[in-house]
Amino acid sequence: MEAWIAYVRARPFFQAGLAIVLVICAMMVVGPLVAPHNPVQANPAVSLQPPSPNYWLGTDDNGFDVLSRVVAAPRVDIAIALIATAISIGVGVPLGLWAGYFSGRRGPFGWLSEVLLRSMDMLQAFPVFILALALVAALGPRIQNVIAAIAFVNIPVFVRLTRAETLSIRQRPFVEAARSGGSSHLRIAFHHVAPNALGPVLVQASVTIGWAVLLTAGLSFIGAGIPIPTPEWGSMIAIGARDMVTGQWWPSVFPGIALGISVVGFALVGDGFRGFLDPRSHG
Amino acid sequence: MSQLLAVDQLMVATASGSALLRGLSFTVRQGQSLGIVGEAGAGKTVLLYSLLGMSPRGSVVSGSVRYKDRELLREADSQLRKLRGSELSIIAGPARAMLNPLAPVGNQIANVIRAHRSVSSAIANREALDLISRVDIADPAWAAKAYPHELSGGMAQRILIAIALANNPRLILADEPTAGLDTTVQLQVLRTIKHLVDEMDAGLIVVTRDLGIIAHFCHDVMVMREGRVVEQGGAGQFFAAPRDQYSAALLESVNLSRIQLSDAAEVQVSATERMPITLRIVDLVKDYPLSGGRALRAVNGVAFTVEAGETMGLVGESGSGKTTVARCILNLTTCTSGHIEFGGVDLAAASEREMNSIRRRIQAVFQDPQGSLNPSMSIKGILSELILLHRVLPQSQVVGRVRELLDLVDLPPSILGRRPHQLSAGICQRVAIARALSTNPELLILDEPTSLLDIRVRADIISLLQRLQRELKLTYLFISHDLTAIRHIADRTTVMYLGSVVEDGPTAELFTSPRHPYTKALLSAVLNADPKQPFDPFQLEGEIPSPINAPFGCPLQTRCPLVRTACREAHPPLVLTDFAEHRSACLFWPEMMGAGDFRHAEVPRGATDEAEPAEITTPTVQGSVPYRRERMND
Repeated sequence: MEAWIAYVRARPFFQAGLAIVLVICAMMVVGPLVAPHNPVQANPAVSLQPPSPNYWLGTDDNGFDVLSRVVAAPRVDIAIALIATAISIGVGVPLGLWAGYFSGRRGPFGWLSEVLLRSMDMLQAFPVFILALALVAALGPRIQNVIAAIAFVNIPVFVRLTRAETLSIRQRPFVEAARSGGSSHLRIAFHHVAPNALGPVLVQASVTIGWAVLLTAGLSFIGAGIPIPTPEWGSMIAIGARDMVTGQWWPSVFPGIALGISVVGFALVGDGFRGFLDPRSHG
Repeated sequence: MSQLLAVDQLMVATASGSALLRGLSFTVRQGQSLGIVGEAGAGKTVLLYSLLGMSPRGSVVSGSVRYKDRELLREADSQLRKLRGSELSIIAGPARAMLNPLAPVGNQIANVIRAHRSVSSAIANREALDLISRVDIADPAWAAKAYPHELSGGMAQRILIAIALANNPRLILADEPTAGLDTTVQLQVLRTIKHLVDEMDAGLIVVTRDLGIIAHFCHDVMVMREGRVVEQGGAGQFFAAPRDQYSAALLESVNLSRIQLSDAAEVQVSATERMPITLRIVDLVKDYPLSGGRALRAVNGVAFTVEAGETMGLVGESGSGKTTVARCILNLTTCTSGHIEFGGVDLAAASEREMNSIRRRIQAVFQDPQGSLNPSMSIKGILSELILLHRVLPQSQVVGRVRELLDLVDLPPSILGRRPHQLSAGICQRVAIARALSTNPELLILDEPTSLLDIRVRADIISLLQRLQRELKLTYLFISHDLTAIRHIADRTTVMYLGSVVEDGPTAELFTSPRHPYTKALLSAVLNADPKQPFDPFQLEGEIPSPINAPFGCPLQTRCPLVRTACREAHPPLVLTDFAEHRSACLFWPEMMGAGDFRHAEVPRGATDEAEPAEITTPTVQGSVPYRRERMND
């Protein structure tokens, strides 16, 4: 714990990342409650008002308060990213563990691990965004489907990462020691290998959450994600984009800034974790 | 003799302020060799590199390092660079890692020559070739064109020596020059260094953890601990009577055989009594398939038995197949053919269920103490794991048992919450031993349990293992290339070479009267930490061949001085020698008893007290006092 505090103290960027993530997560919980106006109730009488004391960040075409929607959106965007990433990890890590531990035709159905890896290759051959878009288009634009699509496209990352870690960990002497002690393969995989592979997974998770936020917003931006009027950064940018040409910049720019900051925040946190887990990079 | 190097109050500290060297002073004269010894973390390597102006980045250096009449600590880096590799050069190990893998080694030598002298590349190449032949490489033309991966460890080390000598250095710094080399090769390399340094009348600093090397190759000794000098002086005087308590302890633990063995007599008795057989290995063969349908035979028809309560020592250099035997016994790999009988079951053919019931009765301790403990588990978790896994005890009694295990290996309960990386190697190895004992096993496979430990810790672990064997009536299979350890702990010893057993017998007998040229060479390559012990090595040529190119017939035929046609015609069987329980796989062992016999004359203490290293000469007196009999006589 002391090492952790000293590590964080010496790294201002990591501190900034942690602060951003904490604020965003707090908004996920309390966002709609602190919003000055109802984020899902349009007031056509005040459409496209510039920022003012009443509407700090202005209003959009439909008369929604931009600030209220910006602070309420994490409950959708961040929640989707967190749940989707959790699902990716839940599916990807055990698969990667199995593929790594039994690769080279060791153990039951060793050849299946090859099949698994090749299908991961195929998934990764598609651009992530196009794949997610196709999935949502096929399943229909609902929150569950967006989560499923984002989780699915991120599975290969975790399978590959865990497999690579497992391949190197299974060579380490303590795995041999566990086998000669009488542990079963299943026990070694989950008890001895998995805990030692989790560090890099944690780093990757943090980066993946950032990307998942971006992906959610992207899907919504082109109308394949979260339907209006649910407050969501991507769709807010999309609605506001129409008014950019006529000089009303505020409906798009503020959700864009929020989106950018949160992606950067998760990336900084991932970087910080990576440094902490790599003992060579600090004392 | 003129003074080459004078170091005065040298201090080095890291950027964050922790001291690496705390004020060292010493001198090296021309033609003098200084041995620096110390355990891991003593600052030996930092010292060597600081002399070359290459102290760790960001560190703070003070004091004085005078080379001839120049103050090295105040020289500009461009001036130091001219000295490095020409007047001051370094030999480090492991060699293959020090060479550029992408360039032929001949070019690497020529590059060093041309970095310091403006000669044409043709001349540099010719000089490189000449250097390669000076370091005793058989085929210099081939070696000059070879890439590092094509060379054996010993040859790569010789290339490093050639690089160090390329520009006629006045002072040579050797940092563990034989790290990673096998015993028989180590001696060859050290003799090459010594010979060439003497020839050039240069100064030599050898940094090592092995006091044996210092005893036989250095005039002076400096003992370091935690960045300080605890003792320095002439080697003769040091080895006869060290003045400092720490260096005395260091010397004592090297000379394991000098430690009084309270149970030595007991061991002898138990060796003569027949005990039931715990483990019987019959004709064990292990092939590793290679591409193209060929196979690498790592273990070739190994057979031996281990009796209840005894320690069987399994000796051999790297590539001898000793660890593969252990892996077969532990069922970490399946053997190709043969039998492994334990507790009435053939482990080589046992089903998974049979194996599971056997597992808790055979446990193992491995070479790498920290590495063999799961870094994400606490010591408590590590020690209780096998107890719960094999249901040795009910859950409620596990904590008590874990404390008992710690007590057994002399560790305090305070380490229970720690993780392996917070503990030293010696403590980790004690934890690994405690874990192995947690299932109440009958047989412990000890695979090089001491070879990564510092010398003092090594001695502690060996006496711990001996105590545990006595208290818990354990049977040991002790695998090691460390002959001193084997001699100390094993009742009987089996010697392996290139996958085959070449000799076996009671340890004391095998060590005093080897009956196979390989054993003889192995034993005579051991450097005793006693410069007065004269030294007449029985040497083999070259190095252990790769098992892929194992010769047909006697495995030693490529290196043996006794080799005949018969050795190439069939694999010689293991047959009884002139001793009752002592077998050898050499057809001509009686011949090596003649001239060149490997026996030592005991030189009376005090006769050669001058600080001269022991002469390495050709055979001396014959058949007078057998090789180190202390243990038998004790």
